[in-house]
Formats: sequence, structure tokens, C-alpha cells
Amino acid sequence: MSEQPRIKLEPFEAALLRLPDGAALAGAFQMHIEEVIDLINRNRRVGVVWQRFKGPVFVQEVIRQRASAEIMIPEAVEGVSLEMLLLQMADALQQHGSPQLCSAIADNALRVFRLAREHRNVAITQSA
Amino acid sequence: MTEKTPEQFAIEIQRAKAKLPDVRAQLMRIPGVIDVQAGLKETGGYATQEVVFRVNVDQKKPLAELAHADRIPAEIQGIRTDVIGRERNVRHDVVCGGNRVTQDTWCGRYGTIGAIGLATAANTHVAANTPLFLTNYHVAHDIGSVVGQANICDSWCCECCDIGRLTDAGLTIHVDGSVGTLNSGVRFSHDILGIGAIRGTGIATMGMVIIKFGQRTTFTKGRVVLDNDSITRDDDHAHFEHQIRIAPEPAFDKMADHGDSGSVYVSDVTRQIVGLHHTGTDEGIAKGSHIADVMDLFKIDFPVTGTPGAIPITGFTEAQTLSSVMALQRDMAETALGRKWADLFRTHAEEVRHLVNQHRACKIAWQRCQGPGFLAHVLKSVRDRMHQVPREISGIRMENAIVSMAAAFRQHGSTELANAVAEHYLEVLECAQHVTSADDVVANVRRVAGGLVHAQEVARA
Repeated sequence: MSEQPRIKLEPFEAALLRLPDGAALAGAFQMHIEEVIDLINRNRRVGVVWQRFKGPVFVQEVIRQRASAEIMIPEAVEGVSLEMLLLQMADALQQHGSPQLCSAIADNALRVFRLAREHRNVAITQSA
Repeated sequence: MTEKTPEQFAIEIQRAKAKLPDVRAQLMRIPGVIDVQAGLKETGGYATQEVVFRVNVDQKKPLAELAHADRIPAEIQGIRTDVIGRERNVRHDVVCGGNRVTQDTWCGRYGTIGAIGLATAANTHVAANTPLFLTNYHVAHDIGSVVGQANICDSWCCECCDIGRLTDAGLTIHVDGSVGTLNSGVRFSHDILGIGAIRGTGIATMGMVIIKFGQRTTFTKGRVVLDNDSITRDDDHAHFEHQIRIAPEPAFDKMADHGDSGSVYVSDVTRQIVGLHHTGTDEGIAKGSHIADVMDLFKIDFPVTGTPGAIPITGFTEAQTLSSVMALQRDMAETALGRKWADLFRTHAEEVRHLVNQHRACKIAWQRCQGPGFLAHVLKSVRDRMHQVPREISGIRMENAIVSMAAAFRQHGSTELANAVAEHYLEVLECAQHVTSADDVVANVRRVAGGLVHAQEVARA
């Protein structure tokens, strides 16, 4: 995997680590992120879901704010909610990913969906 | 080889059962393992004398195709294992009076089979002596369509539990009834649950003590207070003349309630069927047709069988099974969340059933995420509290299945269904955490319901 996507995702990992039970979530994130990116880029069906549910637009929204001290992940873009994107991606990834990824989704889906719902605008405070 | 004594078997089985929890925990981690039990080894379809751990797997595979970690050890804790592939199970139930019956999708509205009678020679729909089940018109009236037992089954609908097909139905001034044939291969008995053998038919007279077994109130006893009553039902305005009215005996709160429709009135003394129940009041008064009017309309008769007063053994077995199902329903209804889910189920059941059976994407998602398998295991654990729901089936966990179906219903369901799923799927996911039985589901519902109440109180404060 190129270094570029990883750099973009570093603030997410940092934000996850600041959550009460974020260490386990961040661990799962680190363990499977390469496979997830690979599936988005190389698996047609996963790529279609990523595009259809506005994954790139959400990422662009975050990148657009990278100069800000606090990055807000929008609750919805172009009529698609963050929760819907996560749900559809979880389904696609568990269908096409490895058994380990499928198991990680079963372990963490509830926490991730709840985070997306409870933190409607996820604030990622960047270190100075 | 020397035959083992029953005591030797008992000791060996007891030893194996003591080790079973550890062995089960170890083997259920292996992908494809559905269940582990302690029992006798079968060879070539015959029982041997060897006590083994019987390991039920989704699919038996040659050892060469399995990774070393995925192989079932030949022996665990000094006891050999026997790997058993998925078997085709067929129904061996006995259909009889007192069973639940429905023509409603997903068993939403159900009634009772009064009794199994026989067609008379005057019956123009079927040959003489064909076994016919009897129930009410308002329970089942779609002539030619299947009727199901409306009981817990191993699938997502009641259609696979169908027991027969309706052949005649009538709502007349004297009768609210319907009859149907039983499918070939369905075993039946003329007995009635909780009552036992019946001794033909008779006439209801004032003062007669009546017993009845209905799906809602089970066994009840009452007394005929009128034998020529006139009734107009409030819900469908159906009017009846020459009806029987029965008040409950002091030991019983009600003679009948919703769900008892279709059950028959039996004389406590003669064990003759004297009436067909179809209507009740909020106070528990039962009202029904004289059996002679029913027999005349449908050309059906009820044979004299058994010995009056004989203990109805089969009846109580079935009643116990039903009581466990009813107990679960009661447990669920104890929490606001359980009641809410029951309402949601009733509201969206028809659409969900349509989607998983007809909509290509949802159908594929349902099958791929092992939906039928998980549902079957949960339902089995309702009937058998010892049955363990597997942690995973073919590498899919219940949480994965919920995610898949939530994604499918939100994408392909109606706006109402999509909104309901969006609002509740996290609660469902939370309740499914670490579920190994129906009891766990109820416990999780209580826990989640408690959490929701607490969260609401915090929000209000």
C-alpha cells in the first residue's frame, strides 16, 4: 500500500486512541486497514459500495479541513449518512474480506456504529 | 462382545457429560461445528455400545481438505469423537385436537384445531373416511390454501410447517367453521390435548359440565348456561342463532379467550364432542355452535375412540412444549423493548418475509449470512433450553448476519422498514452479543431495555 492513504488516516487513529475503549478499536483499525484499502481499490463490488455511499466525498470533506485545528466528519453528505456508509461498507467488507476481517467486524461493528451515531459530527482535534 | 448394562451406560454417559462443557467450548471454536453432544456412536445407521462425543458439523469434509487446526481430534479427554454431517430432519409430530392452526402469514393470527374427524359418505369434497381437521371460518377460510401449525418451526415462515389444505369453510347463521385435509405423511390422532380420547358426539344441554383445550387458555372447564342463545359478534357483526353459552367453573378465570377459536366443547362425563367454540366475551364466557350443525354443514363425523377418562399422555407433552414457547413470549413482553419489538415484528413481518423470499439481493444476503441456520438454532433453543446456538456458522457470526440484513433492508426495504431498521438495529446488535440460547436473548433484551431506560432518565435529567 502506498504511504499516502495511511498518512491521511493518521488523525483517525489518534482520535480513536483518545476514546474510552479506543485502544482495542484502534488496534483492529491498524490490523485491517491495509486489507480494507486494498479491497476498496481492487475489489469491484467493495469499490462500488464505497462510491455509491459517498466514501470518497466523506474523505474529501476531511482532507479539505486538514489545515484546521479541529476536523469535523460530517453527519451526512449528498443525502447519505455516515452511519449508512459504515453499515453498507461493513456488509461489503465482511462479504469480500478475509475471515479475520469478518470476525473483526463482528467484534467491533456495534462500537463503531454507535460512535457514528452518538458523535454526529466527529471532531478530530489535531496536535499542534 | 459383552452387552453393557444400563448402569454401565449411565456411568459412562455421566462421565462424558461432566466433560462436555469443556469439550464443547473447545470444539465449537472450529469453523463448521454446529453442536457437540455426549451419546452413543452410530455405525451404518445402527447404535453401537461406545459412548462418544457426537460432533455435528455443517459439512463433512475429507481430512486432506482441512487445515490441521480445523480437524476434529479423534479423541478428547479420553473419549472418542464421532463426526456427524448435516442430516435431513423430517417432522414426526402428531396432529390432534388442541394444536395451534393458522392460515396467516408468520402465524400472526392463530386458532385451534378442535379435533380430527372423518368425512362421511355424503361429503362431496373428499372420499368417505378421509381424516379432516376442524376449526373456525374466522381462523381459516381460504379454501384450497395450505394451513400451518403456527408453531415454532425451523424456518422463517409457517409455510414449511403446513399440515394440510382447507377443503370447506362456512359462516352461516348456525356455524362459524372450516375443515381441511391433512397432508400425506402427517400423523394424526383423534385425541384432544389435555383431554385424551373422545367418544363420538352428543348434544349440549343446560347444566352440562364442559371441558375444552384451546391454544390460549389450554385446559378449561365450564358449564352450559344456555343451549339456544342468539349472538351478534361486535367485531365482524356475524349473527348466530341456536348457540351454546358456557360460563367458566370457579377454578377457572375464563372458559375461553382469543386463540381458542376452533376448539371443541367436550362433555366432562361422556367425553363426547358437543360443540365448536367460536366466540367469547371479555369476561371469559365461551359461545359456540352445536356440533350437530357443524357435522351437517361439513359432512364430518367424530369416531368413538379410546377409553373415557384415560390419561392423555401425548397431550401433556405437547402442552409442555407450548408452555416453554409461551413462557418466552411472556418474558419478552415483560420489557417495553420486548413489546416494542413484537409490535415492529407484526408491522413489518410481511414485508421482511417477502424480501427474504422474493427480493433477489435480500434473498442472497439472507442465505449467505446463514440467516436460516441462526434462526433455526435460536428457535430450537426455545423448545430445548439445553440447546446451544453456535457462535458461528460457516465462518459467519450472528453479528455479521445482523449487519448484512440491516444493510439489505435499509437499502431495499420500504421507507417505513428502512426507518425502523435504522432506529433499532443497534439494539438488535447489542442483544445478539454473546447469545448462545433464547434465554440469553431475553436476558440481553432486559439488559438493553434497562440501559435505554437509564439513558432516557439521564437525558431527561
